[in-house]
Amino acid sequence: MSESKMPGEAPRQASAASGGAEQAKQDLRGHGGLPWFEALLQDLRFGLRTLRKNPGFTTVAILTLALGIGATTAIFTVVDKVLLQPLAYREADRMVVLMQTFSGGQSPVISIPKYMLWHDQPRVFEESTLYGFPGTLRVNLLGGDQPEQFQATQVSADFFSLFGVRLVAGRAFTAEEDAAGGLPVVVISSGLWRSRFGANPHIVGRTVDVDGTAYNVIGVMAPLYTPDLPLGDMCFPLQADPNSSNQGNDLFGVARLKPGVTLAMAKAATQVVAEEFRRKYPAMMDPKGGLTVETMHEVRVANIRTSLLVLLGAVSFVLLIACANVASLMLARATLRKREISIRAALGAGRGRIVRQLLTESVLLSLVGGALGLYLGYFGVRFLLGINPANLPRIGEHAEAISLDWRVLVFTLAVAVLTGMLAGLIPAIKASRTDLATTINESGTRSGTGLRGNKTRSVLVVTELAMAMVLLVGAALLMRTFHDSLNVKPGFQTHNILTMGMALRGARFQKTAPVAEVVREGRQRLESLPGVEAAAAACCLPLEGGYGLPFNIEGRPPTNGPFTGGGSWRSVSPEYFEVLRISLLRGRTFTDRDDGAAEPVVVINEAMAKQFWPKGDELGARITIAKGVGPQFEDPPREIIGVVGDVRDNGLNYNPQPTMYVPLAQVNDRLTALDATLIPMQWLVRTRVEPHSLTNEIERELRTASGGLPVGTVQSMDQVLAHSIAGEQFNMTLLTSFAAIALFLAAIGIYGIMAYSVQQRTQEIGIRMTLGASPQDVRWMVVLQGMILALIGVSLGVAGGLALTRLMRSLLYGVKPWDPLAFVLTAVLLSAVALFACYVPARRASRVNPMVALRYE
Amino acid sequence: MNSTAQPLIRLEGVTKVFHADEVETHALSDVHLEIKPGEFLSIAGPSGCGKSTLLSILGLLDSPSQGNYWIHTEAVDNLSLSDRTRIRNREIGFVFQAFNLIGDLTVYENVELPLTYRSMGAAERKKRVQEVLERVDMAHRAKHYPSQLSGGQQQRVAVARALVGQPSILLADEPTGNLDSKNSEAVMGLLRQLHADGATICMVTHDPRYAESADRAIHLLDGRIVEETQGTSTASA
Ligand SMILES: Nc1ncnc2c1ncn2[C@@H]1O[C@H](COP(=O)(O)OP(=O)(O)O)[C@@H](O)[C@H]1O
Ligand SMILES: [Mg+2]
Repeated sequence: MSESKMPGEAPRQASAASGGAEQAKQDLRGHGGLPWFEALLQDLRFGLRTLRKNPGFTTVAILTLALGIGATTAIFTVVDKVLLQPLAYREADRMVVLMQTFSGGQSPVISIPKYMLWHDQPRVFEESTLYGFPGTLRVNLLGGDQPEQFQATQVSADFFSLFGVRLVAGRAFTAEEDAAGGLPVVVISSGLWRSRFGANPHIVGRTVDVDGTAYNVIGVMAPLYTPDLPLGDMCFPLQADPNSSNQGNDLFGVARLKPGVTLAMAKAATQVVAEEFRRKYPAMMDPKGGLTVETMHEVRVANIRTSLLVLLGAVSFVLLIACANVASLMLARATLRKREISIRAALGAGRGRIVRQLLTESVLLSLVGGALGLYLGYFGVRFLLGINPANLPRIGEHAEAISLDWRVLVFTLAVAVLTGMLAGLIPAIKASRTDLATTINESGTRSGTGLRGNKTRSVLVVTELAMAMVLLVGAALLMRTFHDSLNVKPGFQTHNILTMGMALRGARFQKTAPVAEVVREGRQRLESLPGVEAAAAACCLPLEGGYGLPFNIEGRPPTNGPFTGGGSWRSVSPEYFEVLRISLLRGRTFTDRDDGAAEPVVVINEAMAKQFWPKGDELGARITIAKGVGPQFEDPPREIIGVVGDVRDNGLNYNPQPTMYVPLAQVNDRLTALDATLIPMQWLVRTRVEPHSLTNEIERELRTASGGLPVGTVQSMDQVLAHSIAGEQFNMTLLTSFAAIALFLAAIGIYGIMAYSVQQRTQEIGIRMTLGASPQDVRWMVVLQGMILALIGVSLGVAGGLALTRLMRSLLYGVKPWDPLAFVLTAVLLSAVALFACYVPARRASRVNPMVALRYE
Repeated sequence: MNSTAQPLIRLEGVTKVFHADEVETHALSDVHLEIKPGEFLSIAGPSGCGKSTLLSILGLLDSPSQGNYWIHTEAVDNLSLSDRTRIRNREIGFVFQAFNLIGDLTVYENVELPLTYRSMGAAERKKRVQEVLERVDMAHRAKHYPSQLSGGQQQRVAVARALVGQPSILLADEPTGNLDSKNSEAVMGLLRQLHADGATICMVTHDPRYAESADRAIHLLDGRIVEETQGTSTASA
């Protein structure tokens, strides 16, 4: 080898030959080539041996860390998927959503006229699209053995290019196909292509029969987007008329910013559009309202962010508690290992080396705990979300998007290493400071009163208790919220009601009369079924929201822009109130005679009556709904014939709004047709038996009544209710689990320090007993000492809770963040658990044999 | 010494057997012992012969396996735990070889300790602690911690702690075992003084010189009393 001839080589050889000191220095640093690596191996070997030799300590530490890291992993997988990962759209970071703002907030649902004024701004936007609610449209695919119901979405021509939806066959819509009155074309999902058409390579160009119209299949979408973009199985061109005067807000407008255009610039441009819109349609915009844009990501996650961040905060507390527990355990063990450590030091191990040895051990522990935690956390959260997807966006219907990817793995690894370092650092530094002389000839007055020598551990335990207290308070608040939600009277009876959706579309159902006829026929058939008590149909289900429309009261001047007021609008069949057992307060409800030929009537709810007819003289008054909102909403003046009780149509945690119920048979034809492009009509069937047991009979009767149409989304009203509070339930379940883990770990923490202190104090306790301390005296002494720690922890926790629960205000309903009951109950619970945790060592202390005082080793 | 006086302490046929690791240790076998009020008794014998065991039985820290035990005229071998605690607190004062002061408590607090285990007002406690600290000549160190004192001083504090409750008998287990000869002499001087003032003392010691301070010395071997000698004490009444 030519290396020996290299110029740099000679001096080095010379110095090695001349100086033994240099050699020694190198030896101290390590052994030749890989000092760092070899030292690490040595530390690892010794660490593993030490941990194996202390199976009790090792098991407790690993389980503690697994709980902490597991909880953190569980939440991180959700936070990562929902909040952190970019949306799976093309260049999603430049996508903005048109929002309308009003005094109470903002909403991404807009109308065609708003979009038309907004989207065409070539200096700001690169491209834009207008589309309907993804997947809420239901259509019937005919041509098979039986019509089948599918989810679908209406999108404008640029949709596929803007979102970056790939087509595996064919092409996207052209502008002509998307123009109002364009030809019937459809892009289908690969799923439908496979299941219904056997992945026929010649599918493009074939026609499919959707609701009686032959649609030309022009493309097949790649199976890409389900969780972030649940389009369903068919996409139809929206075919919006750019000159439409339909002011109904039921579409989404999205654009991609040109490179270099900021969100602020887009907001400013949109502000200008808002003023233009207000000039053009002065009646159609709230005086305090306007238009703005938000990033796509913000719109998708805004509602869920707080709850996920609260959960993330909660798990970081759990992790810190676990950390503190392990640190405390290691501190206790470091005391027992003092001798070993001082001997190592005496043999020349530097402080750094001792710290490293101990850190290696704690990181080893936390890596094993992390592996176990990863398993627990990942499968735990999958399991939980599998049962209850919690209305979380972006995760798919059964949380299928929650996956174990490298991000989760790297996160867990990082958390494990950091946790290990954090848990090991204080014990390592303390242990490395051990004073040689005092340890090796330890003698003299050893008996102390216990905690004085355990100051660090006391601080750790107090911190743990305080953090556990904060978590408990948070959990208690969510429990009270959830409990309150369950106790809220929805305004109707949920038991024994089956609901299902039916898409009444196509040429046959362009008018109201045939729809009303199907409803009448269906009700008759259902009510003749044994086990069915009553049946009804409606535009939408309670608890799931609905339409909002303004109205004018005859003989009163407008007070709110051109309107007297606004409220929720629902079209319902006769028996709707009976099926739901909504109470009739005054007047009457609808009958079959309230049809298109009869006098227009309306039933209002109590909230509307109270707000607009405080004297109770509403019956006989006449209102006009949606005057000037567009031809689709054209409606004659209606007489108020009844007042019914309030229903929480927008969810249990929303106070009832003024609500107008209109007979389904009296809705104007164009609105009936429009409805069918938004969501399917809902059937509601009150049964005398378990509702799902009648599913088949009900489906069969409804097929007959509708000329063969299927129903979809069959769910009982109890399921609708459960779904409406799934998010609250998820938050509560998780936070309660975390609080329980925290409570458990904190109990172990205080138990650990007290048990250790009692063990250290054996001699002292013996002395006290020889002097006449009774077992009760000793027990009390130990309990008191532990409870002082506990009470300090609880007090700090109360302070911390008062400061932190404010952050979760938006998750609370019916309970204040400083709810005294929640604070008092959790303080009592935590103190009781701490008392129990102290009592066990206290009992052991009281059983110390006083003869230890006589023993002198 | 009044030979007709009621014995303060009477042991009859006391046996103590320890069972540890399936080994039976006969720490005491058939011990008969009487201690009269005001008597100074020393117990000697080789290591492991049962001296501490005897002392712990006398101090109600442990109960005999067999035999009977009376203090004054009260049979104490069958008392409840709380009665034993009470009697220990009122009748018995302990002095240990290792001093056994509590490191985190001051001299004052250490001495006060036995009084805190009975219901006694703070003023009375203070008076008693000060009295007894003066008696052992440690009043000037009341605020010190044990670690700031010499061994001899610590043992004097321990004696004060044993005396503060005005017990009927002082039990001392090798009180000079951890002390150099000068300090040992000082502590023995203190015990002799106490005895002269009328205290009843039962002391385990190895040192024949100090055994001689006693009125009476007994020798233990393998848990049996093998020899009893009358000392040359001057304090007999
Ligand atoms: N708690 C115990 N369990 C088992 N054996 C004991 C116990 N205490 C003392 N012994 C045994 O009893 C014997 C007497 O002990 P001890 O009274 O301490 O002796 P001394 O004080 O004379 O040195 C010894 O053999 C000792 O090992
Ligand atoms: Mg002994």
